[in-house]
Formats: sequence, structure tokens, C-alpha cells
Amino acid sequence: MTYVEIVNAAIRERLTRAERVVCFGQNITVASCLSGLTRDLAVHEGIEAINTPNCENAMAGFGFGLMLEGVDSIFFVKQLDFLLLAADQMVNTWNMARQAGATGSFTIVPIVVDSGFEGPQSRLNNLADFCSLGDFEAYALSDANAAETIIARHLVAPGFRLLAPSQRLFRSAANQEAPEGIDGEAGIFQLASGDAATIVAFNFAWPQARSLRAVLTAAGHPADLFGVAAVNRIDWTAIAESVARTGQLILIDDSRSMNRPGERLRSALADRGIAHRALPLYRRIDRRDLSPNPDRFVLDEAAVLEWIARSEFSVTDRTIGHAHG
Amino acid sequence: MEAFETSGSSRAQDTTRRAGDVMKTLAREILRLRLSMLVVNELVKRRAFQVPIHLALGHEAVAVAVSMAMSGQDRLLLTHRNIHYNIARNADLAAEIAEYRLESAAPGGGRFGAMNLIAPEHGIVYTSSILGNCLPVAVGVAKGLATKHAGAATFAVTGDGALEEGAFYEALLMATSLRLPLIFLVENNDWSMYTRIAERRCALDLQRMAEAFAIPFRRLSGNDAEACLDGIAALRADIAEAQRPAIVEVTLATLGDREVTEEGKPPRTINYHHGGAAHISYEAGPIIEESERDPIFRLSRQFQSETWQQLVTEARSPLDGFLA
Repeated sequence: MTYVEIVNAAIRERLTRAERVVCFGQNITVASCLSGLTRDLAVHEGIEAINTPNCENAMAGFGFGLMLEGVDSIFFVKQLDFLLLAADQMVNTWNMARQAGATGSFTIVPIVVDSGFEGPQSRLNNLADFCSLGDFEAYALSDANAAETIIARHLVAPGFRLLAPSQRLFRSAANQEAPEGIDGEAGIFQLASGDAATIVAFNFAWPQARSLRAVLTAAGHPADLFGVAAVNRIDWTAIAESVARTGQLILIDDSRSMNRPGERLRSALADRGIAHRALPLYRRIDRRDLSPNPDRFVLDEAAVLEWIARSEFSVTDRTIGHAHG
Repeated sequence: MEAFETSGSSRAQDTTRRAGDVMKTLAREILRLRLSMLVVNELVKRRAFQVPIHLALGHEAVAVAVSMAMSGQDRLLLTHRNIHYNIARNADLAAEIAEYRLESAAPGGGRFGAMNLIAPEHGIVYTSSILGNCLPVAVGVAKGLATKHAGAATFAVTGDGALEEGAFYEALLMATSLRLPLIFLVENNDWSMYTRIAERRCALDLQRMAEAFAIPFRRLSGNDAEACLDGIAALRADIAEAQRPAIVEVTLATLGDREVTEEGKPPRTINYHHGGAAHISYEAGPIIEESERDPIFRLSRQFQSETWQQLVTEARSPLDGFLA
């Protein structure tokens, strides 16, 4: 199965277990059903699927209104960039809804259009920025198997959050390795184990992290590998224990954001007094990616290998990743 | 033009007939609301609150009409200028004041201040201080309500300033598309903070906008309490039956403005926006202006003098203690 087929199946499975959910969004029941993401949502009588007009602000407000009435809903959005039109509702209305103790579930599922060739207004993959504005939770569905766990737990649950699939991954084959969710909210997954280093992948950079780990393993440096799907309220305990053991931390984040969860991890490690070397591999943000391009977040794996092998290597902060292949 | 008239349903007609029998109740409620806001105004002038309060002197008739037209399951969504609906829906002024004082013992726990004050137990499920923000939320509330209570209606109150926000159009579009019983009630006081409509934008004909959406429209005068009640009750019955939204435009004056003169300059009007209205007092009330701008003045002329004085005395009685 492909990534999008697994995500769609997970959504439908969760809806099967829900009593009443209003699913809404543009074109969610017609044509390709958002490339298959929203195919066959109406799994039973209690699940309503509504094709809406093109009015993101009203649609986000609609979801919060349903939440105030205790009615669960899911808003599917063709492109994360469109969600900027709903920023007022996602920040101000969410603040009121939670203060008022709204009991319904409202989940927005925005597709991160990260294929690259769409141009300068299809650029956002910054889940952390959205979360920072509104202090809500978001999960990057960077791995089909992890997505199953996240969707099962968070798609329909009291409160508000984003669950964001990556368009780049839609047609990719699902990874056969089932990740191990290691915290209660399933925001962190352990993808592999090893003692040479602790690799932590954020946002949608799990494929790059898997590739890097394979290179390190082949060179005799197997590492712990964690995928962090959550953006907010992350329990760092398991990763901190790993770093305390390996003493070497590699952070990989492909987001075009100044809000880096990896920096929060480093603060947490400092608070806990865990000595380590750190190598942040963050996306270089520049204007070149305003032009249509392959949007490849490519790591200089040889440089990382050198960093691992030469423990006396003095540079602890380097940006090796870049956006253009 | 059929689409732009309220239906002649028996329910609508019954509601209208009942309204004719409740003039005294209407007057009592409007007087209670006016005098309660004058009490709050006195407390604002004494700096009794830290939260910013937007009084709605002059808006009483429409607030009471909406409150009286609401049925048990109906919902009401408001703006930062929500005091008139909160007091109209809740006779306990002490509870309202406790909210403004941010007291934990207040019904809402003092957690919402004034601009976002809600009272779910009275149907006020959401208020917003962001212009136009409550309108899309009202669409969702109306949809949620429709899934649970057939025949219930939702009211979203906003001002003429919010018509300029895209949220108004989007919410109207979505409510009409989904055929939701939702009244968009526009309190048109001609002001957005300190600019009049003519100073900031082109004219906007809400009736023609309603025509474009093929939904009912009513224009009401906010100084005519009986017309407000009749019009809103009839429209509420219509939308609940026909399952469609409607627009009501209520023209009114927010009282509390004053004219200032500076040497060598022509007199100019300072609009009341928020805080205390310095030159208005509880003692001199309930009438603020002896003009058609003031719905209380107009209401007073519908009663014999003795009856009116009795109504005023009755309304003052439970409120005097707040200013002791």
C-alpha cells in the first residue's frame, strides 16, 4: 500500500469507531478526493461528508462552532498554505473554545504541499509556527506506520489539533518497519536502536534520517533513531536517556521555520545536565526556494560520518542540510 | 420578491400576536436593561473594573427583543459589545458585575472579562472581540445545533464595522449553502470606533446582499421595541421552519456621545466607544435623550405617564443598592 492509502484507511478506521463526525472541506467527496486522502469517508450513517465553498476562515470557525456544541468534526484542507486564511479562527477562537471548556473534537488535516514545483506560494511546511501562534498540538505524518497510530489516537479526541500529511510521500510505498511509539501521546517514535549517536528527526525529515542512519550503520556506527511527529508538548525523556548514553546528538529538521523543536530538546538536555555533542542539520532557508524546484532536503552524509568518526571534531553547530538538489 | 419576505406561517403569526400582549413585559425588561447598564456606567466611572467595558446604551430594544424571541435551545453569539444581551438574558446583575470584577465565584468564574463574556446557561455560547470572528463560529454552532435539536435557531450579532470583514461574506455563504437557521443580526450604529460609515467605506445595501443569497432580510429600527420584537420573532420562526439563514439590519444610536467645541473650530461629535459615559448618570435616567434616538424615550410615550413612572420605580428598586 502507498502512504496515502494507509493514511486514508486509518482515517476511515477511526471514523468507523466514532459515533458522529462532520467531515468537511473542498472537494473531499468528488474527483480524486484530495488524491485519495478523503476517499469514502462516510463509513456509516453518523459520518457526514460535506463539500464546502472556498472559505477557509469560515470553515475553521465552523469547526470551532461545532466543537462548542460538542459535535466532532474534521476539516480537510488541500494545502497547508491555504490555512493562513484561517489564522484568526485557529488562534483567537481556539483560545475562547478551550477557555469555555468546549468538549467536541476539531481536527484540521492540511496537506503539506512539499513537492516543490508549485512555486512561491506553496512553501509552508512550518507546523511549529502554527502551533506557536495558537498553542495547540500538531503532528507531522512523516511515516505511514506512525500515522496509523497518530490518527487512531488523535483524529477524533476532545480538543483541537492539526494532523498534517506530506504530499511528497503520497505515492511512496509504506515503510515496512513498524515504529515503536514511546510516549503516551505517541508524538515520539523509536525507529531504530544503536549506541554510536542519537539521531532525532523532526517535521517531515524522517526519510532523510533513515537514510543517514543506514549510512552510519554501514560505516560501523549504528545509532538510536527517533522520529518526532509531535510539535508541541513533547516529552523528551526517552531521547534524553538515549543522549545520556550515546553522548552524541544529531538533529534533523526540514521545516522552513525559525521555531525548531530541536532547540527545545537541547534546552531540555541542558536543564538535565546531560553532556553531549550536538550536530543540528536544519534546512537552510533562503529565497532560492521561492522558485519551483525539487525541494530536496539533502544531508551531507559524508560530513556527518566524519563528525561521528572524529570525536575531537570541535564544531558543534553546523548546518549541513540544504534545500536544493 | 417572495424569497425576501418572512413566511406567513401560523407559527410566525402566533408569535407576532403574542408580542402584542407583552408590551409591559417588554417595557419592564428594557427598563431593567437600561438602568442596569447605567449602574455599570456609574461603576466604570468609579473605576470599579479593570476590564474594558463597552456599554450599549441605546441598544436595549433589540437585545430584549432577541432575548424574548429566543426559544429554549436557541444560541446567541456576540461581539465585544455584549453587555446588553448578557444582561437581557440574565436578570442577575450582581452576577454580571462579579464577572467584570473577575471574581472566581461568578458564574463564569471571572475567566472571560467583559469583551468575551459568555453565559452558556442562557444560550450565549460565544463572544468575540475580533471583528467578524463570531460569524463563522455561529455557522458551526447552527450546524451542531441542527444535528441535535430540530427547530432551534442561532443568532449571530455583529456591527456595521464587521460587514467590512471577509468573515461576514464567508459565513453568509456557508450558512446559506448548508441551509442553516441562523440570523445574522447587524446592529448598525454608523460607527466603527471613531469613524462613521461614510468616512471609511462605500455604502453597502444589506437588502441587496440578502437578495443575492436569496435569503430573507428585515430592516428594523432599534428605537422601536415592539417592531423589533415582532420582526425578530417572526423571522426566527421563519428560518426555523424554512431552514435557511436571514439578515436583520437594526439601525440604532449608541448613546453616550457628546459634542465638544474648541475655540475657533466648529463643534464636533466625540463618539462613545468604550469605558464610562461621563455625562450620563443613573440618577438622571432612564431616559438619556429626549429624542427619537433613545428607545426608552420612545417607549415612554407609549404608556400613560403614571404607568410609566410606576414601571420606572419598579425597575429602579432592585438596582439602587448597587450604588449605595
